[in-house]
Amino acid sequence: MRIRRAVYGSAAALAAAALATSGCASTAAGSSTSSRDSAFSVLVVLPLSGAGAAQGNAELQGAKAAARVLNSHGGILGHKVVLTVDNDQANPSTAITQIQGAISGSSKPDLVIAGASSNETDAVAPILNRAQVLNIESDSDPKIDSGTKTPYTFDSTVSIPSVINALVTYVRSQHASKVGFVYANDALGSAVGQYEVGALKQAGLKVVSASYSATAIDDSSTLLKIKSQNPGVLVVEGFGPQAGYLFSSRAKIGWNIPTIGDSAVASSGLASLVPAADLKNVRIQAFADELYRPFSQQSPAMQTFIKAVAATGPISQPISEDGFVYDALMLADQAAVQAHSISASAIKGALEHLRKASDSRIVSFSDPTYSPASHVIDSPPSDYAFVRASGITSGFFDVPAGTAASSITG
Amino acid sequence: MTVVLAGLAIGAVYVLTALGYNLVFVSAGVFNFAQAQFIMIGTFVSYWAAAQLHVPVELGIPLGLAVGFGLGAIEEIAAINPLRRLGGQSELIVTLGVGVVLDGLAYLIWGSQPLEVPFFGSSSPLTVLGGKILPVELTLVCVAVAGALALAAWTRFSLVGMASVAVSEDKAAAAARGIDPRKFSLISVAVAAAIAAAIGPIIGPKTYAVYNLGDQLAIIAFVCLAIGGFGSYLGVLLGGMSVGLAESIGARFVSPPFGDVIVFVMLLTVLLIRPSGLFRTAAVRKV
Repeated sequence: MRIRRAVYGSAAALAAAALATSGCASTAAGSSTSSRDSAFSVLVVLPLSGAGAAQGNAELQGAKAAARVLNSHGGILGHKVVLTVDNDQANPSTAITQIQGAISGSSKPDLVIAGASSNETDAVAPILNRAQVLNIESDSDPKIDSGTKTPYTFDSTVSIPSVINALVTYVRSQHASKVGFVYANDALGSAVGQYEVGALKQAGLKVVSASYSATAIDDSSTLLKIKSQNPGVLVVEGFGPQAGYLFSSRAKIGWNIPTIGDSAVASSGLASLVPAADLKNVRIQAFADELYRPFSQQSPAMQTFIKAVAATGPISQPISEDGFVYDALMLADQAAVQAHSISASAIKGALEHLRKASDSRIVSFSDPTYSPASHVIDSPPSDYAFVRASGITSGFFDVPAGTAASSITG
Repeated sequence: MTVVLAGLAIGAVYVLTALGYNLVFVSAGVFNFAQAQFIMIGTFVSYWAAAQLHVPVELGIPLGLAVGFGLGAIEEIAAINPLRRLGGQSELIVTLGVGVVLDGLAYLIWGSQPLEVPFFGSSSPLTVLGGKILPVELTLVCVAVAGALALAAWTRFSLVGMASVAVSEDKAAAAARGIDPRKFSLISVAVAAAIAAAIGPIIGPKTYAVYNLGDQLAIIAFVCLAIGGFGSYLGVLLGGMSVGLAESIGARFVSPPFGDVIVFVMLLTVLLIRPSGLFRTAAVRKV
């Protein structure tokens, strides 16, 4: 999970949970029918325009790819996967209206994937849980990660502490006694900043931090304030143009200390905003499977996933943006097979005791594990990579120049 | 010194935005809320010229002039003028709507991701008075100062400039003197939009081309105008630079978000002590 996705992506988890719910013919979740002639209906509510649209469209690609793959194998327990897509424009009120409309009818969706931000998913999760509709999010959010509070909501991504733990491990490997940290003063930046600063301090590092105005177009002053305290490493939180302003300002003041862009920076297309010469000593946090490797060296499950996503259109975001929603559907499928049912309660129960499957199509994790208490995945630091701030080519970082498209997407 | 130079660069962007608002306000008597969106359109036109037409980014200037003039004229003819006849300042609301439409158009055409606009000069920082500043920032400061002085001189010394002030102060009296307020309104809205779009090649390298850039700039530009005084170009210059410096110095020596607080404290102080703004004399009206 990307932390930014924690804010922009709770919808995916909701969707996955919804998938689990909908599959069942005789479930208390009220979902649908047991006939194999019926479809496994998935409601996808994402921001397809406006703020968060880049993530929303990438997640939609993942959902479409998963439906394509599952249907080519006979659907989920014989039920054809059918997607219904709504655009909530990143507006929680719109998402609520769309979901209430979908679950108030006679046939509820079997799975809901809703929202690319925690604003949206936090708003719709209580409604879906009251209606016992399974939803699986592609973003982690502590408010809805608890199996006891929101039993029908799962995350198909990793917990925020996992992401931060990987960041802390990497920072410690830089052997700096003092760490600088800058983050936006908007809701997301403040939340993430406090998490990350707290984790760095807990790891025994001395931290000097400052937030910057989310509307600022120049961050020289903020960086100079941090620089005056002589940190050995700088950690940066920022998204979109904010990330560009930060790194341009860093270059302007000639501050080239080792700098780490967190997972939000990784989604910002930094290399297309700031000249490569201005990104000396910059690494950004990514998932290990976002690092390029030739298509022929990918696992069979990953090859299937990449081909299916590429068939839906160009891949402009890191491949895991697509992958977490893809996995939401694959998790629902695997749980349904384990439970021999597509009912929400059955899939929920199976997810909480998910067994490893030899033919698993899940691509982001080799062994995702939930429990009745925790509906989010913890992953070790080895699942992450700190990559050069290169551009993203067909979803991957560090693709050598001149690499043929067939070597990336098959 | 880098902090001061950064403040001046930020202030220059605000000044250039606010000058457009002021030009329309003075010449057409309208506060065109969509004015900042023309700057946003200009940054995209520059990006389009450089990245997609593969022509020198400087050509974004004439392209921006043409696109901005056309869009501004359409706004005045289709949105502002029909509503102005109805009175009640209803044209203000429609200019907000035009801004939203322009945001949406930019989003549909170029998407939501920020896009880099290359600068036609060097990208290596310069050392000025011991501080660091990028060439594009220095250009912004020079253009902002020159633009404000030129517009101030235009309204004070040129016949057309004085006529524009006359129109904004009393349309009926201006018309009685042979000035056509309708024509003035059309030309001023279109020209202000053209100038805003034409500076895309120098604002874009600093801000990127982002579909919601106009929204971000509009609020601060309004604050600059309120501080300097609506109608005064020198006031805009002082207001914009003050805001930029307050943001930058506040961020360095107090706390980064405190820069925003300082700006609004400045605004409240000016409004309390001198409601018409620092450079505007309060007019006496018979009520």
